[in-house]
Amino acid sequence: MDDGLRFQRLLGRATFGPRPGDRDVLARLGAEAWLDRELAAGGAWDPGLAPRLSAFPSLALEPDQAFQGMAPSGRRAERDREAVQEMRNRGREIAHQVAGARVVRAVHGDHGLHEVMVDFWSNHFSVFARKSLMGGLLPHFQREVLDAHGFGRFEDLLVEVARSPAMLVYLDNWNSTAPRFGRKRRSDRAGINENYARELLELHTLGVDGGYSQEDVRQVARVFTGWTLESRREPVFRFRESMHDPDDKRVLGQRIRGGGMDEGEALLRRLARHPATANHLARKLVARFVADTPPPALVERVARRYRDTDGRIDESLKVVLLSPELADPDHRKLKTPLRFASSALRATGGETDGGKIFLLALWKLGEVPFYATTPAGHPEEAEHWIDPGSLLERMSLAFALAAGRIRGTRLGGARPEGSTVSSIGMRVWESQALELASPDFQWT
Amino acid sequence: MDLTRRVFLRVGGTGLLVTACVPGSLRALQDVATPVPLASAGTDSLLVVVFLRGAADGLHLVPPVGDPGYQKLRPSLALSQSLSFTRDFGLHPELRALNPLVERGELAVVHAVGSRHPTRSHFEAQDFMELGEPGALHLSDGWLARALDPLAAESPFASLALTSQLPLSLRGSGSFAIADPAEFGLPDAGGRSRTELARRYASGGNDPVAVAGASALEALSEYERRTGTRASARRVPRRPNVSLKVSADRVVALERAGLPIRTVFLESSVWDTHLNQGTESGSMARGIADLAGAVARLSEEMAGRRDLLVVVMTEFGRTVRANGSGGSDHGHGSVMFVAGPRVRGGLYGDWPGLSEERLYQGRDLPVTTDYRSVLWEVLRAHLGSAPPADTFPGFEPESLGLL
Repeated sequence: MDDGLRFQRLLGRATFGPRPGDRDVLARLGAEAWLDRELAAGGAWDPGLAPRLSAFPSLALEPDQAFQGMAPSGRRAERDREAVQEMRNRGREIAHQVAGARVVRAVHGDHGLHEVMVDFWSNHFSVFARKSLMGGLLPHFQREVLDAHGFGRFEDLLVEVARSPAMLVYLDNWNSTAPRFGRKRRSDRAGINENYARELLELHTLGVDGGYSQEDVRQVARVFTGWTLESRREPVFRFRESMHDPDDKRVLGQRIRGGGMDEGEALLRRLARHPATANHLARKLVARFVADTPPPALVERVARRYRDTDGRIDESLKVVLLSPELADPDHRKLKTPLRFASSALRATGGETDGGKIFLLALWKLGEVPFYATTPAGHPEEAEHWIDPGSLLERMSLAFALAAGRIRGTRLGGARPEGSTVSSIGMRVWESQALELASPDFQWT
Repeated sequence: MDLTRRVFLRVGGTGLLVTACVPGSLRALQDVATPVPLASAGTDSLLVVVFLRGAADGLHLVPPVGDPGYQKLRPSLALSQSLSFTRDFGLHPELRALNPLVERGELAVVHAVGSRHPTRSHFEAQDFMELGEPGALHLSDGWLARALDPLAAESPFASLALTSQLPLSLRGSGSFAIADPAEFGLPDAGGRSRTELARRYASGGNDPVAVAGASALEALSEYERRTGTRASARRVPRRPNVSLKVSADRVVALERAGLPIRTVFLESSVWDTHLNQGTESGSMARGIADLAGAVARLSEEMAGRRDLLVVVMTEFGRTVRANGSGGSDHGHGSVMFVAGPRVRGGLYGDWPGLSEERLYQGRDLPVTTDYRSVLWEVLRAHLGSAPPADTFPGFEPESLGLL
């Protein structure tokens, strides 16, 4: 096997791109030891990031702290437009900080695979920062869900997501109630909301071809009635018995005895262990790291490992990243816009403060963490990102970065590995821009 | 094919014809004895395709106010006021910007329309719809790309998407997505860099990035030549646009600047109203006002200059009943709009009636007209002849007589 290509692919895909010196470390350790080190580092705090992340104080906020002292009581809130506007601005500011911090981590993080998996789960369990008041819930979602469970057992992650205020709000489950819910006397405000139940089956677990029916969606929605928030002002998870549909349900052919919150927890764990979920996740991991059209044999090996290890994400990743398929020359992967921009900064030893100007530039290319507009997250496959207009945007960003026009973000002086540009007769920044704008740099 | 079979209500230039809103009696009332004349489409035909992503509620856009099931099944979501359209169907009040089109008989509504594929997944449904084949087992490029093939050679700007990524509908066409014309270009690259970039992309072989990038660079030169503009470097990039009205303004500006635009794709994604959908006002109403404003603006700007054709589509409709959050969940049938001077205004499609036993799976408006029949007629009018046979492979369009 070609170790050179394997190393290149590992750094290009299992991190946000090789930095000067990364390759030597990988070559010294070998792929397996390198991967073990990345997996071991995963949960741990990355001390190198601390000084940079101190610019984002909102990262520490709890859901009920975000709008503290700002939210007037319910009815006044409607009249008091200024207060509402103020909360909206605050939510937006927090969202910019959380997204900015993610970009800083992608560019400057030492725990490369951890940052990539945070990004992977952030798309798998996508939430949209611009949904009403979502900003205040993102720090918690980032810390307690995405950062805490990225390498562990999938079912633990799935349960954390289901209870997270961010997902409860994004997919409306906090409003879903039993058909007759005492305090919601107006008939229009009682009843299930299918949004979370559907995406749970379609996107989070079984996959769209996973063999569930519309009736399953409805039944799953009934199971999760009562998974809600304390209140709008105090948006922390709460299971509310009075909203929960106490009757029996039937999901994927199995009866679920009417109970309480245990119904949902058991269902999540059952879904996580379902073979369709194993296949769906295996496919997505292989598509992320190996090839847009996943080789079926590899998908099967990854799914088997997932099933054999009770859904261990780290064990599944090892199969993906140590596979011969990773080093198959035909398996090229396009860098999505965030990977393109991060890898340019990493390759040259550049710097970013994750500030608003850089976020806007990334938004123009179509990829900012937490700003995918659909619950499917940002798309993975190259075909979504390759069209003339999008490529022009990439070239434009390469030149803007090299020209030093993106405030708070600048390239370093190192030459990307494998650089082929002849810079004769060019100014340094121009040859750097050309390098990053070239077709080859768009791929890993 | 019987041209009149499915035409049951029509207003506008041909006067008002009315029938009771009862299933079974919705037959053949119209005057279409002669075949619909094909539009004399020349290069002045401008087709604007508007995709409402997220599954727009057709019962909100075009409420069946004369159907007793409407109030009964969605009491909390039913509109209490609507603009008059036909006797049994109104228009959402926020569509009022379309009133001039309605009065001129230039707005056709097809109700209970969509894809017959049963999926309620946004992503599947949009993909299938944009590929042009329910289930999409064979296709990898978009219906619009295949349909526009005869025009594609004219200019890289013959078809254009005002979106941040090229939509699947246009995939395979080599068309451009221009999110923001003010920032379209390479403001920081000098002439020498542009030349060197072009050289590298041209020598990239069959790498899809090189192919798309090379055509981007060529087209950029054409764009600059035709419009006489070059993007200038901004200190702060502009925020991406999410409004159809702004998109419509940009279409007008690009067209006036001299781009030879024939077909435009616009989209908005505010339609997934699971929560607090609102009625006459509220979150969905704002989206509707934006849609109407965009269509009205295009109609005013193109009047007398270009032969405008607008078609509005969405991946599926929403549940007839409200959900537990003042919204509606994923459904089946919805509406499509076709607007423009050549359009025969009125309401089209077989109305199934909103009674429990007629609903699709007991909950949704059924699909009685395949969306491709609508697109087929629109394309035929736009191209001036039948669209390429592979536009919708294996599909037999029904004749609606929209144009």
